[in-house]
This record gives sequence, structure tokens and C-alpha cells, in this order.
Amino acid sequence: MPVRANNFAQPVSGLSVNPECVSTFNELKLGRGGPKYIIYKISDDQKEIVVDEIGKEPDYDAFREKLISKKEKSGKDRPSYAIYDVEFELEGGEGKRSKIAFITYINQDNTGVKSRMVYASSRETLKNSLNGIAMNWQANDPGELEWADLLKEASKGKGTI
Amino acid sequence: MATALTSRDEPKTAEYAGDEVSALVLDPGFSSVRAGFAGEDTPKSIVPSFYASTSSGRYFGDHVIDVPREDVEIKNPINRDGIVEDWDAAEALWKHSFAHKLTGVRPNKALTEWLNDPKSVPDLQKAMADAEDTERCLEEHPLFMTEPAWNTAKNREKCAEIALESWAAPAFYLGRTGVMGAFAAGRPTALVLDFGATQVSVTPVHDGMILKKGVMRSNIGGNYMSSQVRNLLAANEPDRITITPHYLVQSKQPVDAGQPANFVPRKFPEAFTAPQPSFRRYQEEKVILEFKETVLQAWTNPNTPFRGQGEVMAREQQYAHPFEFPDGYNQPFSTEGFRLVESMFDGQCYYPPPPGSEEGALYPAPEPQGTIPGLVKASLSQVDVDIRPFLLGNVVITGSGSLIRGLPERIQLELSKMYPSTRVRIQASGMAVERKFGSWIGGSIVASLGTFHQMWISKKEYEEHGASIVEKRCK
Repeated sequence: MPVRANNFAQPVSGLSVNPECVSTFNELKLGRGGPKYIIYKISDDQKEIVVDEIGKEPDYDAFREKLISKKEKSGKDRPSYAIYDVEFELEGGEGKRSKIAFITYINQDNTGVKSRMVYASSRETLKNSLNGIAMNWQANDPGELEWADLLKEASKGKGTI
Repeated sequence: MATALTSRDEPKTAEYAGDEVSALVLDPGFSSVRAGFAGEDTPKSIVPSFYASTSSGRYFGDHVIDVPREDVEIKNPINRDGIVEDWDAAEALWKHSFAHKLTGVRPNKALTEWLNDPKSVPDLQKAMADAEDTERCLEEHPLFMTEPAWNTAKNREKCAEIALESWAAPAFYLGRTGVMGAFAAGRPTALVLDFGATQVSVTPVHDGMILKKGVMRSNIGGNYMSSQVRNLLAANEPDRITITPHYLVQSKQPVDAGQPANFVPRKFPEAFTAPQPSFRRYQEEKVILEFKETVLQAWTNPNTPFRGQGEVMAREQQYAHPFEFPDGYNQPFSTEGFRLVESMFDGQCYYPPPPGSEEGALYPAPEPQGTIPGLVKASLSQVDVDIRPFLLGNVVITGSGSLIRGLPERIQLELSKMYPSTRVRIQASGMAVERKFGSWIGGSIVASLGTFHQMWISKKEYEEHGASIVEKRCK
């Protein structure tokens, strides 16, 4: 049963979330050999949000490169939603922590207004169907996907944006 | 009334027409009404919100309202807050905006079949039914309308009533212009600065929702700027500049800059009752719009404030834009263009009205909290402190009034100065169409999605739950 769009945001697009989006996310939450990141996209028929690809390696740079090189058929940049498990060390050797970040990447420059609109207006639908997101990250150009910034946001102990 | 409806209840599949119908998107503003079919890139029909009113009725549309008819008056159904005041006229105007270019005008049987032939007049009941049928102009098109964030609940319900009852649209939705501006820029979280005709507004949007307490606005929009241009021209030295609109000019001879105009005024027949003052004012506004497009420029020097030093600097550097009025009078304008824009940032740059003019009462100098920096400050003070950096990092500039040269850069400078410890980022689409028609384009995209049918308020739901469903569904 697809998760129905809720009415938190306005105007939401009414897109549904493919159940695989949630099950893959739950695998990531469990850890232990599961995915380290998930990239989501809107299906070509623009009816639902689906898993685009998953990565088992926690290599942030490789993940970032993937995000910024996604293309639409028209050749323009394609926006994405993504889940990335941000791991960091606590100060004073107090051990490792991790935070599951929900990233919305919509490049403002090389995208069509239609894909910006559809991705921006459908974000809440996906976000609200994934339970356990610890931080939110909205990036509108490649420069806003720097690891240092994500780390800073994750480690300051504040949850959502 | 049926059972209580929650916002999570969705319309039953059979209640809306489905994917294949083309919805109509209507974006009514103070300056113009934008209408077109969902899925298209730009609105096909753009009609001025001003209309001509004479003893024989209302006239709509560019050119049509520019004709100097006898005793004609120019009116606008929307008030200076951007809110509809005259519903009768608004309904007729909006209908005109789509019926004439998009959906086609439904034949009025009363006129076509029996008006000129008294013998064929049907019984009264049938005549009434025919008249009603003529009104049902949107029977085949769901209607997506936009509204400002400060629209009243009563007005929203009135829009639904017109769409679903008078026009018989199968479904209806109201989208907020601020949210649409944020989404069209790819941002679920943004601080939207919308430069409209009546207002400059600041709308904080967080996760796709308007933070209502933070919505701030001030009437320093396009109309204010036009009023400032009037004050400037009236104070011109050595002689005040009078705008003679095109319709009063028969012919003109070129003159040197600053020399009196040499033109032949247009003569009207003796018995002609001149148009009312509102007609002339509207025609003058058209000249002022051209003036604004030519002359206005934002001061973007980061090291020198405009007032004082900057003004001297601008004069020395001889920035100048020549402008010719319809009667042929022309002169270059230099520092004036900067100062006009500056008055949106700094009330002290306001051009005071000439004695006896009512411009001062209509458009007084903005108070500090009514300037652009003041609005942003007031807006941010109303939102959670944790959200502020994310809003300042996503300032979206939209609206036709934002097309002033250098304005986005200037706002960047101003906000960076106000919030030195926060990274301020301004996003203003480089495409003028996207800034002019941002709300319409946003509505066009969402309303054309096959999945949007879940959002529509169907006619049946409206009949069951009443007008209050608008508040519940269109948040």
C-alpha cells in the first residue's frame, strides 16, 4: 500500500512514496552491512518517489559526486533526495556517534523550473514517511554539499533545520 | 452538512474528473491577471486588472481600456492591500481573462436566439435556465487559483464559491504565492521576498509551510515607486515635468534635452465628455512604468552608502539614462534612479510630494520597519532562532518589481551587513519570466501533475462540507 501524501505542506504535489523507499531506509537504520546511503528520485511518470540507487560504501565524496552528476533526460541536472548516515567522533574521545541525515539536493542553476517545483513540493511526503531522521539538509548548489558543513550541523546536537 | 472533514480525507476517485482534463490556473494580481492551462510554461492570457467603466458597461483588456471613451472611468476590483474589494467586477474580470483567450465564451442563448425576435422568447423559467448555463463557463476545467498569504478566510471562501458555484468548475484549489515562489526556486525552506504592485512582502516558508506570524508586508511596491516618480517629476528643476499621456498627443517635434516640449495636443470633438481623471492617471501610469524600466537602478557600492557620499559619487560618475516623455520632452536622469530605489531601503531618501498633492497621504515615506531591511528584520524576529540561518541562506526574490537593475545584489549587501555572522544567500531567477510569473508557473506545474487530483476540492465535497473545506484543504 503506497503511503499517501499528507497535507502538511502546501501545495503538495500528491505524489506517493514507493514502499521500497521505506524498507531500504529501515535496512540502513539497522546498520550491519546494510546500505550506507540511499538516493531517491521521482519516477519518470511523476507519480511516485522511488529508490534511485543505494551505496554500501560510506565514502562521502563518492556519494556527493553521484548526487551532483544526476541528469534528467533533457541533459539538465536532476534533483535528488538522499539519506546519508553521518558518522562523527565526539570531542574528548567520548566515542563515535552517527546521525541519519535527510538531504534534499536541488541545484538552483542547472535545473528546469518544473523539476525544482516537483522535487521541492514533494519533499515532505518522503520525509514524513521515513521515521528516524535526525537531521535535515537542504542544498541548492554543489557548494552546499560540503562534508564539513554537514558534520558541523550533525555534531552541534540540533535536530532538524 | 455531512460529518466533520479532516485534512487527511481525500476525495473519492469518482468525484474529480481525473488526469485527462486540463486545469486552468488563475493568478490574479493588482496589476494584471495571469491565466492559462496547467502544464504550459507561461500564462497565455495576461489581462490588466484595471478595467474601463462607462454608462454602457465594463470593458476589459489591454488596448480596449486604453481608448479614451466619453466619461470613462478606470477602476480596479482589488484594493491597495492586494485584496479583492469589488467581487462583482473581480468575477467578471477573471472570467474575461480565461473565457476570451482560453476556454472560449459560452454562447449566450438570450442574445443569440431570441433577443431580437420577441416572438421566440421562451417562458421565463427556460430563459433563467439559459442565463445560468451561460455563467457555467468552467464546467470542464478544474480551477487552480493563487492568493497572497494575508488573504482573509472570507475571501478564500468567496473564491471557492465563484469557481464551484457560479462557474461550475468540477474542482478547485487555492495555492499561496509565497510557497509557490519558494518551491519554484527549489526550496522547501526559504525567505520569500515578493515585489508586487501593491506590496513588498516577506514570507518565511519552512518545510513547505508558511510561518504566518513572520509574514510582513509594506506598501512600498510598484505603485509606491510610481508615486515616488510623480513626486520626483513634480519637483524637477527648473520646471516641473508634466506627464502628457500618449492619447493626448497628436504629433510632436524632437526637442533638445531639457527644452520645452513642442507638440500638437490631440483635439476632441466639442460635445465630447472628457474621460474622468482616473483614465488619465492610468495612462500616466503606463508612461511611468516605462520610466521605471529605464531609469531605476539599485545602489550596489559596498563601501559607500548612497545617502550623502554615494549620491555625490553617482553624480560625478555621470550615470545617466535619458528618458523621453510622450510629448517629446526629454532629459537625462542619473542620481534620481538610485535615490528612488534607495527609498525602499532608507525612508530618508523619500521624495516628498509637492504641496497640495495627495500622493503624500496615499504613499507616505516608509517607516523604518516598512523598508526592505525593516521587513526582513521584523519577519525573522517572529520565527524560531534556530530557523533564521536557514531562512537567510535561502532568500528568494520574486515578483515583477524585483526586476530593478542591481536589486538582488543590493539586498545581498544589506542583509549581509545586518547579519554579519550568518551566511546570506540570495536567489533571484535569471529568467525574467520566472520572476514575473513565478506563482503562475508554480501553480501550472503542480496542477498538471497526475497525482494532484488528491488535492483538489471537488464540487461534490464542497456541496457536502460547505465553504469551510477551503480552510482545511488549502493550508
